[in-house]
Amino acid sequence: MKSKKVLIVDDNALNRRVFENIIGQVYSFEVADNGKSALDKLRVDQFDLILMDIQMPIMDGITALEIIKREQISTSPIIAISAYADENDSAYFLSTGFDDFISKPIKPKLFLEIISNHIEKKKSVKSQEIISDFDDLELELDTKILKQLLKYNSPENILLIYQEFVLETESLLSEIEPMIKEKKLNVIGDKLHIIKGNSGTLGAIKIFNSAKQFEKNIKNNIFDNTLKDYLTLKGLIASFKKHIQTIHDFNS
Amino acid sequence: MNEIKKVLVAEDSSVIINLTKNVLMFEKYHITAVKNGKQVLDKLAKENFDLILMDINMPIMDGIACTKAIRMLEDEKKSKVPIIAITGNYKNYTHDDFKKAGLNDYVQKPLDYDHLLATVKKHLS
Repeated sequence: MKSKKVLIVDDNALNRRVFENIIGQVYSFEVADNGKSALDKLRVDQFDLILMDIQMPIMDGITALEIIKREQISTSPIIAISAYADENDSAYFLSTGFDDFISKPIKPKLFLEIISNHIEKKKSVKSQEIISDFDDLELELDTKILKQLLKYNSPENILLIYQEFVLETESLLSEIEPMIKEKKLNVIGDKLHIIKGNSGTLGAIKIFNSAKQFEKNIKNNIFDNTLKDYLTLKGLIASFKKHIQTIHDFNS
Repeated sequence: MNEIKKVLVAEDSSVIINLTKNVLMFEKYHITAVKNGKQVLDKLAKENFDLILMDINMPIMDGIACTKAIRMLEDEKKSKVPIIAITGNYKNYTHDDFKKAGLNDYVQKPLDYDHLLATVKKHLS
């Protein structure tokens, strides 16, 4: 089951062969012999981990790392490999933005362990936990929409976006409240429209339905229920916030 | 090797900006985000983009006014950029209104990101 793919970047053919032999036992891989050709590969293909030699001709590993980060070419873990290594080097590499550091000559068992840790653990264990926590939100979230979002976003990312959604919605609601008191009912529609669009996009189904009904009433100049609609919406957002907070606390 | 496409996203909700960024980055597009129509014009004055995703309902200058202004620009690289509207259609614009303003296409809110990505790809190819 070689579903994960590693990009091995090293200019030394012998080194590459050693890495290929070890990594190939567990993962599929591709190779590049300098930073520039690594960038070319990363731009057209997805890799689950990048193994990056530091000293290479044409483009060295640190330059390549900087470009990957700056241009957001890949978000996968990038591990530095270098022969010049003591404690200080290791700290230096981590400070430049590498996720880990392995010194040459490598010890095969440890080498594979470090790589698997980065590929399997970091990503999936945490993500799986969050996904199963999202399941508890079944009543709050449209699972079809959530699935679609998960195609493009990591669960960690989605959780952040939900938190941001809660903050943004709370701020919109706090703008709505004085308008109800001052009877500036027509301006409320604008704010509700944003809440409706965002909750719909995020699959926050209860909030979406409530905002939709509220907006419809305002648009049709039905103001009898305005305060009640407002309080219902506020309550739903508070409940959504609590659920998201629980997932966040579990996973942090 | 394709060069990286530059997409400008104009949307006043940071939630939608962040989600859209993640989705477009999936295709390795380079994303710049702004929050209203005026900021779109400011950005466009300084650099060129391959496509603009434009929310219609924005403060200061809305998407329709902004699109009309872009189509009037002298530099053809800027005035002919494909523009896709993002719309919850609060103000009941018709398809015809979008066309008249010079929008090339539109996607409706709530956003379906598969559809959004397909629409962006269509206009970038």
